[in-house]
Amino acid sequence: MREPEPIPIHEIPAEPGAASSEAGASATERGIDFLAGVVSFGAGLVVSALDGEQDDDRSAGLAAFVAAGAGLFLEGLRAAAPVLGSIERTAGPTIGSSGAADSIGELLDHWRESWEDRHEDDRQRDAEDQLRAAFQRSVDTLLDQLDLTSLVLDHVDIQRIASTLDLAPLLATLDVDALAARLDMNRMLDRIDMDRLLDRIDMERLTARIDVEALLDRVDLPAVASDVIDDLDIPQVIREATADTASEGVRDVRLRGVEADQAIRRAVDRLLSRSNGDDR
Amino acid sequence: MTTRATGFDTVPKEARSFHGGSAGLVTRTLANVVDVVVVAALLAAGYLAVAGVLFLRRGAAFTFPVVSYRLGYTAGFAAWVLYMTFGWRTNGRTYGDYLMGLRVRTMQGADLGGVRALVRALLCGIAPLLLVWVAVSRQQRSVQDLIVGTHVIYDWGGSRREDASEDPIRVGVHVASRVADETDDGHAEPLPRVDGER
Repeated sequence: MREPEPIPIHEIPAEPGAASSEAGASATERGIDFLAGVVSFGAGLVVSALDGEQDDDRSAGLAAFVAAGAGLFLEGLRAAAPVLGSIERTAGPTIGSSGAADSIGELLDHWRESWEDRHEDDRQRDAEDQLRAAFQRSVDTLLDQLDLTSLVLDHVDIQRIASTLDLAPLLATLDVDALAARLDMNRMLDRIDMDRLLDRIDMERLTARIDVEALLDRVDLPAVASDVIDDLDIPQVIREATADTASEGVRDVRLRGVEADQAIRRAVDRLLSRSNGDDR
Repeated sequence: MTTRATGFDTVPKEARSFHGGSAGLVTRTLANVVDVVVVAALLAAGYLAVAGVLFLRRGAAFTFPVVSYRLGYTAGFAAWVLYMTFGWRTNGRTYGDYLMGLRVRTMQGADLGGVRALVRALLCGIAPLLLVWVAVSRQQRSVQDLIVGTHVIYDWGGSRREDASEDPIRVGVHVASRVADETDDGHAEPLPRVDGER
């Protein structure tokens, strides 16, 4: 039996790096490498810049879009690289399997990994949000069922807690002036029942504590008296009071006259059946 | 004459309850009687004065002058009108009014002017009996009062406090019988309003 004779085919170097290092990269491969490098670098820059603003949904969407676009472009390069390589191989013996295809593959892996990482992060964040919301709902439901006030009043010895509190440092930090400045005193006073307040004041004791003599010492009594006399016009008062010098007899006649007037008036009122408000 | 309010109530204590109120028929009639006596005295004094002058001129031939009815009536009427006009125009009261503690005022409480006093005096001289309308009038005003727009009030002199809220015209007459015997409690009773008074 004859040994099968191998069909001589065009030798393709197994190692792209060796091929490229031995035979030197073709112009197409260098071009694709350069292009892939530029695209990868640009996409990385844009994605990292947009990742800085993670809270912005539009930036996140744009980053994903750029990453996807770069991935698509590199995928296209990888698909195009063997075709271009085969074309180049048919053109010359030095053409071998493309080193550019490998570097593009690495880039694609890198992009896929980062894509999956991002996707993984999103899923994890969603899960955490759901968990947090569920927990919050549970706690709310639980608190709704409990009457915390009565629970505290029933089971907590507030008196004991209060007795252990040292209020001095708390009060020392309190700015009473600032507190008072925020109070609307007029509204407070409106709510005070002054009559009740005054009823509770012992005026006797209050007046007993006033030093009237000291008070009077501070008053210029002659000046006050002079003003009062000026205002009263004492001479005019005396003149008026002594103007009517009618004797007792005259006064008696006058009074009797007034009485008679009254009597006649009442009689006429009765005669005419006049009542209050009747004006005839 | 109007007294000026001073801050003190200088109205005599007995009269405080009716001071400023409208005067009735009796006091006004008595005042007129007094005025008639006064005018008569004035006329007599005038007659004696004339007689005195005649006596000095005629000496032994002197006889008292005989006054005709017409002359006496005319002179009496003129004296009455002059006397009344003078009293009301100057003080708001004649001597009779003063004696009975009365004063004539316009309805606004002001002093009477000369014309108003003259017209009122003429009306009182011509028809003195129209004073009787005071008894019937709700506001105790005579016909003369109604015509010339006046009224007569009790005024024993003095004035009320400046802060007194009572309007003298609105203040009515209160019972005066016990005023004379009233002890000095320092407070006059408030006056009730006279019904129908403005």
